[in-house]
Amino acid sequence: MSEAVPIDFSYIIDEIRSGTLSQSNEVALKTEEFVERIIAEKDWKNAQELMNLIKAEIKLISEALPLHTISTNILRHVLNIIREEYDIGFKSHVEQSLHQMMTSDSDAMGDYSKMLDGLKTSIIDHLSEYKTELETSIDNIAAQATDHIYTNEIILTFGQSNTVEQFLKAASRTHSFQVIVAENAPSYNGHSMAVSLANHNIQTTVISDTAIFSVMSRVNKVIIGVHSVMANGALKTACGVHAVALAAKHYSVPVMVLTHLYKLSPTYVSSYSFDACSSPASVLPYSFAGDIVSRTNIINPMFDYVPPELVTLFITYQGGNAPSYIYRLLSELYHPDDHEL
Amino acid sequence: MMKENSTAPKNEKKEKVGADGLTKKERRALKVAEKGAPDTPNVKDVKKQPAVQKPSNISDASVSKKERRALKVNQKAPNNISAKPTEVTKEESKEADVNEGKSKALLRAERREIQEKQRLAKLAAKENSLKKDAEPSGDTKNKIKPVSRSPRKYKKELPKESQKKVRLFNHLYCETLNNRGTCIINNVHPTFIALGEQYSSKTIIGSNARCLALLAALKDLIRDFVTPPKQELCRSLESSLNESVKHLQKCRKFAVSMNNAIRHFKVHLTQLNSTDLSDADKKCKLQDVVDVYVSNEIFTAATSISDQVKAKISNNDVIVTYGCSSLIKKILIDSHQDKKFKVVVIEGRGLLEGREMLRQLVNAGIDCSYCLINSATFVMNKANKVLLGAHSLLANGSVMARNGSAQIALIAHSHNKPVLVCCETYKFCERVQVDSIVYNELGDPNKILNIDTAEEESPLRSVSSKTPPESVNLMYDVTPPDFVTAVVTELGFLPCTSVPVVLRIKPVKE
Amino acid sequence: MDEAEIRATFSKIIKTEDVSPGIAAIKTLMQMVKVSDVTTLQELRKTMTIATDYMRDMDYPAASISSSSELLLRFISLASLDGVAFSECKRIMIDRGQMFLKKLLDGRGKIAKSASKFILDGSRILTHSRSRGVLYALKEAMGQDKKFEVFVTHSAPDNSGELMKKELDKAGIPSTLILDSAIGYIMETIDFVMVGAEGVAESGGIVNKIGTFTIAMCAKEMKKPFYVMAESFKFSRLFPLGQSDLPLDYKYTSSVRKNMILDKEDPLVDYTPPNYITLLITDIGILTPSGVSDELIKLYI
Repeated sequence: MSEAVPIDFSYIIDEIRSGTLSQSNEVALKTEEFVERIIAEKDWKNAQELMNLIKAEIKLISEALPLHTISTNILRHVLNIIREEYDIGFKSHVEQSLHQMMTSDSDAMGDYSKMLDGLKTSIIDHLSEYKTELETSIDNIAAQATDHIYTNEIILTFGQSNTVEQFLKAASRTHSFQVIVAENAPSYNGHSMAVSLANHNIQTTVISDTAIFSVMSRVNKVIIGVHSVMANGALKTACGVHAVALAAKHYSVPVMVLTHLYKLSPTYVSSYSFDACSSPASVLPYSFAGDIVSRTNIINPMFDYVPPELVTLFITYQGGNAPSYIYRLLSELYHPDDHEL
Repeated sequence: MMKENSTAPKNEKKEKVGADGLTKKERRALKVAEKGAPDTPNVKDVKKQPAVQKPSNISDASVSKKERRALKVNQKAPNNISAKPTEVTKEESKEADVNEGKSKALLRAERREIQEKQRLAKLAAKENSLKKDAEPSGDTKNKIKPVSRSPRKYKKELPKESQKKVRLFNHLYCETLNNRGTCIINNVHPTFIALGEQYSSKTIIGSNARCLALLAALKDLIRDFVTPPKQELCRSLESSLNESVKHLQKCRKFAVSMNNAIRHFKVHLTQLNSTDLSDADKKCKLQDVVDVYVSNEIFTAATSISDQVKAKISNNDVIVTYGCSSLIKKILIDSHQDKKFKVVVIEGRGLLEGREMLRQLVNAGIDCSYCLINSATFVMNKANKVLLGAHSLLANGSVMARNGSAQIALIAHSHNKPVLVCCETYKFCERVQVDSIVYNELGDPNKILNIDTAEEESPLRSVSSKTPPESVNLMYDVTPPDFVTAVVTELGFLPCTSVPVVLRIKPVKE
Repeated sequence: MDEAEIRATFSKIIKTEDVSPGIAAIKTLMQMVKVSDVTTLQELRKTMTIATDYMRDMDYPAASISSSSELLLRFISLASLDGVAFSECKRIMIDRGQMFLKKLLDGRGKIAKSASKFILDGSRILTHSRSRGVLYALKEAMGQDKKFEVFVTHSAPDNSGELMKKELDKAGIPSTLILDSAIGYIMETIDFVMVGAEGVAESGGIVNKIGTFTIAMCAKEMKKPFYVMAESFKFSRLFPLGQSDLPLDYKYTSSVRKNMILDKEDPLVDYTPPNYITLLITDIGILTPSGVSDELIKLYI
């Protein structure tokens, strides 16, 4: 299946929906390959047409998978790459800022329809660099592990994250430390995380979500992965991480978030809930007193919002950043005109 | 004292060769080969048998028997022997007395030989796997001997499941009857034995329920108690009560409410001691004491608290509660008569008590929602108040409650929602605690592994690595006083920090 | 143009058009460039600086006047005008100026659109005094058929909150006037706070009508978001260390400064430090307070 990447993103959408493609890194790579195919094979004459093609895909994906931001973020970044290559080609520089407002001949701004030779090759070159970046992202993050974890520390993590797993395994090669994994009911993926860490000879303890505050007084660091990062540095994570962050704040334990750049979304969230819930059967089984279940409202939210003041550090492949710096990373990744698509 | 003396020479003898030119082990092996014995199949007994068969060597035998046991215990916990000198000493002398009078049959000797070999093999295997478990195993060996004069039956000790212990919580692991295998207890009223079983299997949970059950058993004890000849009712009742309490402590550590109730009862017992009433009258009075305590401290207090909280609940409130508390249940069901509100029951995975709470509230007709503790931040936005039950209130204002309550209080505090802790004053305690780990109770780690909502088993069950992950199930946690807006007691609304004031005032009122 | 004409033009613009003093200042300066008869760039700069001083000397809040004039001067200095005849320069500057002004006026619409995304159905919004930016945002949200409620403070001493309420009523937005001292009381029922700004400091903090700092402190304590609407011309290189570090002409009007002892006078504005602000909604995008300094650095360095 992976040999022939389809030119139609709907195949990838189906895979994501059915759960066969769930790891964020794989989704990122597949999306990137898909973009390469579009650029290589589809019919376009200038930058504007190409961007329109990609914008159409973004629209398609955000309608089909409203909660899924990785692919749309990567496509947005590709739009930025196209604009960059175009500008380099025409030696103009368009950047929305106070400076730009003052200095540009504004009418020339935003016109991408001039023909430019070699645009295709330069875009494809840039994309292959980007692909390498995506492939090595986890390893680069894991390579920073020894800077942050020392011997005999107790680290708390929540549920399952591939990035965090690699990070901890990398650190365990040189230091010995303990990991406490919160099981993350109702998906219980903390259990498989614990098994995976233990198979790597890391001393692991599994606790239920209720014990997070109790053990936090003994924890040295909290290391978590996220679903996506908002533009103000807030996090969209598995349900339950907000409680972890609050407990960490109370005991002054640093919270370190491992994230890839394609998880940074240029959106701001105006309310605390993401309006997404999953099946209540994982919370209260139907086998428990059917008549009680039918008279109760069972809540099982998918995501949690963690405000930026609870996060100490973001670790990306480039290094560590404070939450207040996220806006800068965003401005390098996406063009402001592409924020709302 | 005798024990300590024998400990010293024992330790020396361990390295030295005895008078007959044999090391201890060789001597023991000889004795094992020469067996005959009384008809007690117990492992310990078997160990003692060879020693007893040589009456001339009784002192040697007893010493070497102790020595043998001490050797095994010392390998695991050198401190334990000195920790329990008197108990073991008594046991020693009694066992010596008993064994002397028993007959020895050849067939039994052969059987015992086989058993002895098996036992040694098993012990060797156990030592290897339990090298870390120093203290508990040592305790087991000493505790398992009941102290009485009648012919005892020793039961075979079943091999314990190797306990995976988490170093962080090392100080919380203790030996309970639950994971010790069977044992026969004496001198304990059958109601207490049944009660102990209910406690250790967690059939009765919740501090009020446990206390009520204890007091009901206490009344049985009083009713059935027959003063032994030449003894005083109160004194002997007290010692019998102590026996029973000790047994219950082994089944499951006492709740603060139970400790306070027993203490209250003992005070009255002592007071009654000095009066001149007949035994029947005294028993009547004691039963009254228990009844009054139950009625005042538990039931009337509950009604009073319920009325006060009802006044604070407005129509269309959304009330968040956690787990199951009999008091909160009562409050919500009573308030439901007059007011219309919604309840969100938050569940913690330790005991899954929230389900029981949900069932009772829904059956009472209250509009309920249910979620797990990870969704607490999601529901807290819409909540108006949080009602929590408590196991006890500590003297520094902290609240000791079911594991997870501190997290709920933390989240409510960060959303600026008022947190009301409902607690009767009989649960107030003079202990102080600042975090949840220094003093806690550990529950069954298997509760973490059992997932009843998932189709597949947890991967933790079938893990096969050298350092498998351990699971920890804490029962309680401690909520700092900053997170609690008010404590509701039968004396009224109090700030958390007023606990020592109440403790000071209460005994005076009685 | 002489002093009297400058002042007259400025006042006329403020009274007839509904613009902030900053924009009025820019328009006045543009007018001055058009009719001036200076012959060198240096002289032009000098006259513009003097004109700015005249305008700041009037009894209007000086914060936005200062920042916008600074920006216009910077704009002029950035224009690549070397080796061009002065008359040509003038023409270029006038064109650029008009473009700049146009962008600024468009910016208002952008801000309103971004801000309206934060206004959801059923929102309860608290605002302080009269701010054009907030008004446009609320009108925009109303136009998107959202149902929300606004609470406006009286905002003594000039009671500009009452003016705001009148305009909200005209737009059909349900609103309530509350006492300045009732902010703490009402804060627990509010969803978020939205205010305008007269100036944005380099730290990311804002200078705004007196009382804003109190509201910001209260909102932070009650965990409510605090949003600021500010056009980009209000960004200035000011970095106040505290309330006493604000320039005097911001805090007091010129007539007050001349006549009375300042210690006993009520200030017009206060400074809200950046850690109390959740987001700044500007025409160059939605910024966190730390992003403001970035923009200013790009411009001035």
